[in-house]
Amino acid sequence: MHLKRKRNIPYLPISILIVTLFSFNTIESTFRDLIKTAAKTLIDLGTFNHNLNTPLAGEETLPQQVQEMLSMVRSHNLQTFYFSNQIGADIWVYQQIIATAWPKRFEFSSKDWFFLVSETVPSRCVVTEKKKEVALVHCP
Amino acid sequence: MFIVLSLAFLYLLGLGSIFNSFSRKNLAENLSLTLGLGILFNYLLFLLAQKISIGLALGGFFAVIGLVRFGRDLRKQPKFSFSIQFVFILLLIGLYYLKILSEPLHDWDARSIWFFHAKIIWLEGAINNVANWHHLSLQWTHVDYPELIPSLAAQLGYLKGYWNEFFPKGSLFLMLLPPIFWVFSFFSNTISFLFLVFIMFFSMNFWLWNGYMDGYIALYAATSALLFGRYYEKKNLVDLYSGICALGIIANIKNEGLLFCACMFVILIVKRFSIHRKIIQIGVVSSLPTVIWTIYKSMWNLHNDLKIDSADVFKRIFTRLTDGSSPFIIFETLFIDLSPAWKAYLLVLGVAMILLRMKKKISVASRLAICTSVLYFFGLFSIYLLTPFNVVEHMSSSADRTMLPVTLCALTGLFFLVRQIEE
Repeated sequence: MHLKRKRNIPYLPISILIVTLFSFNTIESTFRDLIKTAAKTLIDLGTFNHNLNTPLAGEETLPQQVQEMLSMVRSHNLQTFYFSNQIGADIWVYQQIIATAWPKRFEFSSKDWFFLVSETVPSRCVVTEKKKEVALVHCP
Repeated sequence: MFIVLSLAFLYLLGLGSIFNSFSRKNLAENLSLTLGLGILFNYLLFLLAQKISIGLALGGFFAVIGLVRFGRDLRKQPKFSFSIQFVFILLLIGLYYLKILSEPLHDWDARSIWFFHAKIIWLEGAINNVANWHHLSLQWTHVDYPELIPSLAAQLGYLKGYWNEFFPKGSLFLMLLPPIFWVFSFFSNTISFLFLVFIMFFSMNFWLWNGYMDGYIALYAATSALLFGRYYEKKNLVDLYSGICALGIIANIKNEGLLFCACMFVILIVKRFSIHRKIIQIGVVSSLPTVIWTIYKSMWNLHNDLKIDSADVFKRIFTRLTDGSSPFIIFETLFIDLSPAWKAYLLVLGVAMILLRMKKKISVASRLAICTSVLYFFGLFSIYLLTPFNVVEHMSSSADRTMLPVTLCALTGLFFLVRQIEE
């Protein structure tokens, strides 16, 4: 007669694990997120590699206003710039244009200012370029 | 990118091998200690050289010497037998590689602080242009923060030759490798190990890939609690070296890391540990970057916005302690409203009571992790007491992430308790 070897099932550790999994729902969401991204990335490895190997890739996540200012800073090769209080009121926009445009400096003494298209531009200034939300203005 | 990161891996392995003789006995822990020391030594060389090119050239020289030594050590060791734990390690590394590098930097501190600093260092090719750090437009970017991960990202940028919003996150991936190997040095076919992997790598949501440093502080903090815990249980010196190395890294990730190191040191002094030549060697490599960065901060006049060094710091604490509401608001927000720390403590309490009913003593490792967690919680509590900002606003933008080490260290204590039940 064969006797079946009795296997000890660790009920208590399993219960603690289950309670922890239920208490910390981030475990399930993190796991799902990792698996989902891995599957999505493996299906489209070309985009993954392209993003890693392309200079300036990823700036499309920035707010529209920042992207517009950035494109004008670059196309006009501005070394310094400044923007109106209305643009600066949004802290995220304020910080991101400074961070992304760096080493082009944000300086009050600059003659090139950004205004929202809805704002009135000072009479001494000339509009250099206008985009959807932001205008570049030269103030001598 | 895969090639650059593989080269970086070998480079860090080589640098770490200068200080650690490689042994296949407990391969995972040896590998992580070597990598961890490599990360610290690379940062030390960069801080001393102040230029990326010189730092990398010096590092390359040492890395070659280290790799030769590594190869020599490897030949002396018995043949490597492939174990299932390396399949899991590769799987975890693969998942995080794809997650970290598939998303651009888009979160606040990641873009406005950490990877902005990295970009400044990369563009300048150096860390020592004080005019940059003092530029009027940069006063919101916390220029006094440690630059371990930004400098690693800047070095990757130097190797790539350009900048974008994806590959600098490779620095996060490199930082993740030592904790993965350290955690897998606890590998066993048990529920407690599964529990450990879940809490360490799957409980923090996006904090390990969004470019914030808080997830990494928590991960390294919990890892150090694990390693010191095992050291006090088994008296294996590699655990002590690894714990010190992990603390060295924490201190250079973010200012909160210094607070965690202080808490852990208090516990270590109470518990006592042996001191000998190799401990001093690893201690020096681990603490020198912090010392040098502190000297630079003082030389370059970079100050923290919490104004901890100002004269009225005790006045601020006293005012909040006695205003009748602040201590309760801080406690409630930190412990209950914005973090799941209370759940971790409740679980610890429940399992500890089960253990006591089983007539088992709570292990030294578990006590160490829980005590560190409690001490760090009170450290954070004090920081919020002394903040010069509106305390409610300050906490609402930070408490959920600054509490991560508290929760994770408590869960580490819980891991040791579960392991005790299994034994």
